[in-house]
Amino acid sequence: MSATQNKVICVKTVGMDSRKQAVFRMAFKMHTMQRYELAEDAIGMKPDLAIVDMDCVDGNLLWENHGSENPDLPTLIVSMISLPDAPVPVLVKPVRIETLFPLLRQVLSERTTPGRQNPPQSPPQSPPLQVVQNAQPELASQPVPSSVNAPSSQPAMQKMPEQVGRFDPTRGLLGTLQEILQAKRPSMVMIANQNSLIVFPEQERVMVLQDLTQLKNACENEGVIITTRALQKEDKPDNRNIVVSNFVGLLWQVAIWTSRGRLPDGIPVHAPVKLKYWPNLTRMAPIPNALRMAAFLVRSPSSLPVAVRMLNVPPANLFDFLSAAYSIGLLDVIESRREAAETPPVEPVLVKDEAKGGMLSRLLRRIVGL
Amino acid sequence: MRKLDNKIIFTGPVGAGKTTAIGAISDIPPVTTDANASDMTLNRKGYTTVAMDYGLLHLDDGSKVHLYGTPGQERFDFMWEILSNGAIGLILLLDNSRQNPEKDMEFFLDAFKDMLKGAPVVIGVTKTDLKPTPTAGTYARMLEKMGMRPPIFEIDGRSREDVKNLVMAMLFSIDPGLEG
Ligand SMILES: Nc1nc2c(ncn2[C@@H]2O[C@H](COP(=O)(O)OP(=O)(O)OP(=O)(O)O)[C@@H](O)[C@H]2O)c(=O)[nH]1
Ligand SMILES: [Mg+2]
Repeated sequence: MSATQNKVICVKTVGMDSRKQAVFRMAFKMHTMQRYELAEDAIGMKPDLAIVDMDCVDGNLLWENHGSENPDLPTLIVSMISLPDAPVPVLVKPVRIETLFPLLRQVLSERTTPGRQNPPQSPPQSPPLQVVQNAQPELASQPVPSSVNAPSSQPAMQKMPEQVGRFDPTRGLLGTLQEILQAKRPSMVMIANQNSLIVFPEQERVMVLQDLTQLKNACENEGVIITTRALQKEDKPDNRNIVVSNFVGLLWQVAIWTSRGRLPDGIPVHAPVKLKYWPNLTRMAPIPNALRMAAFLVRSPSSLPVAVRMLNVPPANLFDFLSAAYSIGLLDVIESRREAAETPPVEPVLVKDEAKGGMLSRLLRRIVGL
Repeated sequence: MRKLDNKIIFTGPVGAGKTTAIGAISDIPPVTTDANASDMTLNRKGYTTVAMDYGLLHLDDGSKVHLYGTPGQERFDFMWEILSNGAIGLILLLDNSRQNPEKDMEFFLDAFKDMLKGAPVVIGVTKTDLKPTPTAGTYARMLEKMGMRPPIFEIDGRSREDVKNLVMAMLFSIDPGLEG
């Protein structure tokens, strides 16, 4: 029921030194509901797919060896240049989160393997020109995660904690990123004096220069010193060693790392809160029960105790979700005292599921189990 | 209270990924009536669905949920209403790589407006790998101005996980407290 129980997809790398691997290790920590790990980190696991880096002197030879040793292993190529004749999908550097994960999914579902190469001049995407019977995609045999949202199957009734932990969202890495967003100035963020992030607020893009564990660490330890400066000409990063992400996705992730089950100052416990609109949950770092919390809070304002009771979700999940939604500007706090005193009950559901003999519950169970 | 048939409707413009998305979650390979498109539409792919797609999910009590995909081309829109009557919800797929996906969204929401008085819609934006903008947030803010706040996610029609999330969001839109 939680995001952590997803089957890990083990990724073999070919043609990469530790610096190149670090880029993927970094990327795999972000914005994905499916967990990927480098084979080096997933001891004892058989690789589910391979990523071959062609940017080395003997790239072609590496590719041939990889193909003959692993003809059936779904494979993705990464390269500085586009390779229109490649028999498997190609990711052109720099590694962009939004491109990487869809391509990995494509590689897994279409099983683009070196062994099943079409003649190299025809890329794999073009479908046949007649009647098509879409076969069930074989999503690489993994029991796929229901991470965004397994329904809360915990039988125990969830309650608000007596004491709600708090953090100041204007401080630390989260606060720094918010400031940059507001100032709309391209900036370098340094964590403990190391260049860590290049942020282009207007383009909503971030280049991550450091291992993400450093970012996470900075969120967890208030003592870590975070500074910023204006971007300079010399700050041109080496495209081979960075991950590019969208800013909103990074803010969401940083908020979760910062929150750790606490609430930002600024969200009162008893004032109703409401979601402006749904976050793009398929492309954000997962929070257990996020789908049901979004569905609930987008519908009508609710105070936190009511939300916990109605949804029966662990308060820590709710607080992480609120922190993340708040950080990307999606949360409205309804301040009026009168409204706050009496939270309106939740809207009636469109259809009472019992009347349907629990069909919706059955369907949910079926979908989660797919 | 609405009487529900056990069915979910997938709709959206030509090539948005309806047939693919149904195939990603259906228990059976989708029954589809795709035909060579070259003679009938300025389609960028070689085939298109001319009648409707059909997929199926078996539930644990022996009942079934039917998955219907509307044909993408507008000249089949007379079928849409009949098809959508009594459905659990509507899954609207938008192809971000098309000329004007915002207008596609408005068109389809309008075409299904009667159905949407009583049933939820969820929106999946496909092919963001080919064209990243508009983002899901851009659509969501457009929808908010229209007084709508449906789930809207970037998805890949080929990803079962993404399609699952659309269906779950649809179910939680009906009842956030739904237990599986
Ligand atoms: N790159 C990319 N391709 C996709 C995505 N989703 C679906 N496709 C592909 O888009 C093509 C069209 O998908 P279909 O499922 O046939 O689209 P459809 O909505 O049924 O189209 P019509 O039947 O013509 O209305 C297929 O080749 C899919 O594999 C996506 O997110 N990205
Ligand atoms: Mg079709």
